Amino acid sequence: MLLVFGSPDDRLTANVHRRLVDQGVSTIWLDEPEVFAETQLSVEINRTHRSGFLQCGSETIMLHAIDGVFFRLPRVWWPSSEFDFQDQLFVYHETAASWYSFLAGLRCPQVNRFGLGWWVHDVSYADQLRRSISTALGLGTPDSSSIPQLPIRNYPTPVRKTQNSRHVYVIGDYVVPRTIGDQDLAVRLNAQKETLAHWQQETGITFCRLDFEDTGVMVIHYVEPMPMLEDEPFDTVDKIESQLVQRLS
Amino acid sequence: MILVIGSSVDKVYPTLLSTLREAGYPFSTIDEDQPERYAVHRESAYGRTTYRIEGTGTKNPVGAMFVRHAIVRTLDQTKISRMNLLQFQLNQMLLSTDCPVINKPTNAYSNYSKPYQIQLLAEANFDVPRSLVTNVPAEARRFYEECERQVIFKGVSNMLTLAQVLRPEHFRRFEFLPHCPTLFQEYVAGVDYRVHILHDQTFVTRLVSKDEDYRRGALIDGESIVTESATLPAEILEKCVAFTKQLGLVVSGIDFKESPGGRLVALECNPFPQFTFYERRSGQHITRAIVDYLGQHQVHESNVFA
Repeated sequence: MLLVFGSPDDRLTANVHRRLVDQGVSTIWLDEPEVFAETQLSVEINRTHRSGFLQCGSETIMLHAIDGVFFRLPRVWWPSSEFDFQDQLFVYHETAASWYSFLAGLRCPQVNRFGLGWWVHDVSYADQLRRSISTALGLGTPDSSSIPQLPIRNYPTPVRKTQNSRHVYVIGDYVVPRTIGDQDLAVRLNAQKETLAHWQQETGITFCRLDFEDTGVMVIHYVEPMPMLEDEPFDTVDKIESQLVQRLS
Repeated sequence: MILVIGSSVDKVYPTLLSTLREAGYPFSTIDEDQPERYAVHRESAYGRTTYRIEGTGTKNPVGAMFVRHAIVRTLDQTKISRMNLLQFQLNQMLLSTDCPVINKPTNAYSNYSKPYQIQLLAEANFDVPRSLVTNVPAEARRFYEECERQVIFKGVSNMLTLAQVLRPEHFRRFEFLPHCPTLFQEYVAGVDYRVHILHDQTFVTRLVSKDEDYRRGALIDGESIVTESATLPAEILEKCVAFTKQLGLVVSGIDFKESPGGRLVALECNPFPQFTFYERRSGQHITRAIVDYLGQHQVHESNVFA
């Protein structure tokens, strides 16, 4: 059973789900309120093993029967206003902490397995990703001047094209150049597959968009672990979806 | 110079400052409860980023830092926004600082999820209590019976909750469980140990309380709990040191319960332990050791000035 956690409005989630179903993969697709407010969850941990289940409507999925997770929730859910504010805050964190532990203990492929920085809405999470991949790829510590100095929450972002910007999508060990002009960048990253794999293992981010700034010196400007593809070229989106499905199925 | 980032309302902060004063290490402070006093300036040149913090009264290079962020104690949105902005800017600075930091907030998230931490502790070969995180009432009842009705319950996240022994009178509250998952654990009755780890050093404190959560006894009921310096097997302490380093922390506080039969289970690891609570009762010199660590591990070239 493959779990698809994503919004019904998200085209990538819908397309990945459709492709998985077309391939005969058993899936359950849950949107954010269904995950956080309606799904029954039970996970038991002891010194040597972990067991449990999810109950989604009438369907029970044992932990060991979960073959993969496609996770793309926008994190806009908030507990019911029938609780007072203090209780809403408590329920919110208890729910997030429970789901984090549930996902962190799964050994199946997950796209993406977000780190705790993302779960606690640490606004420097994107900067942490940028610094770690920049160091891993030997691009040196990037200049911080381009990083916003205001705490802006990391929503999914589309590509922001500028004169010097270059973009690639990374899905596991597959690098998709955004356009033909980004092909050489993809070749360069393909030569560092082992490094990328190690970074993905460390961060849990196996699908992302890397935004580079090329002003003679190549610098990673941003790592988007939940890229929006709505305005991307058809061929690029097709390749990304196909790789995601291959990785999950 | 040592920079202390914290909250003047917090109990650790004033003790740390007075110990720094006694020890004679130069230091400056950022009191996050007064965020309007400070401004963080970032400058980049030749691929290196430098931070200058206004409002501390000094402009010296920072050789080491102690961080224990203030928590929000108000619903005043203006104050919350100011504190959020300051903490965001300080956290960005901490990502690129070259000096030792006790502790970097980015390495301190694991206790956001207690069951996740239990799993990490089990993977590090600690004995851990059998634990269940669930929002299903029938599962809580099953666990209660399987653990021979010896179960405690507490919060899943790092929001402050005190462990309580689960009793039949609590069952009526299970109707709320579908709204909020809860952590249930087999109840290991016995004495508590808090092990504070400072790099390679350990400080073991033994606590004996009538309450299943000694903090309730000490803080709420005013109970006089027995708190004393103690020892644990070297193998356990080595694992504590290794676990702390594995998380990228310099300081941590790991909690254990020991049953009368000698079973020692690890409960959780606190990345921002309130060591003053323990040393005040046990007479151990944890703050002084932390201050000396900071003083002796300062870097000479810094990218932070405060």
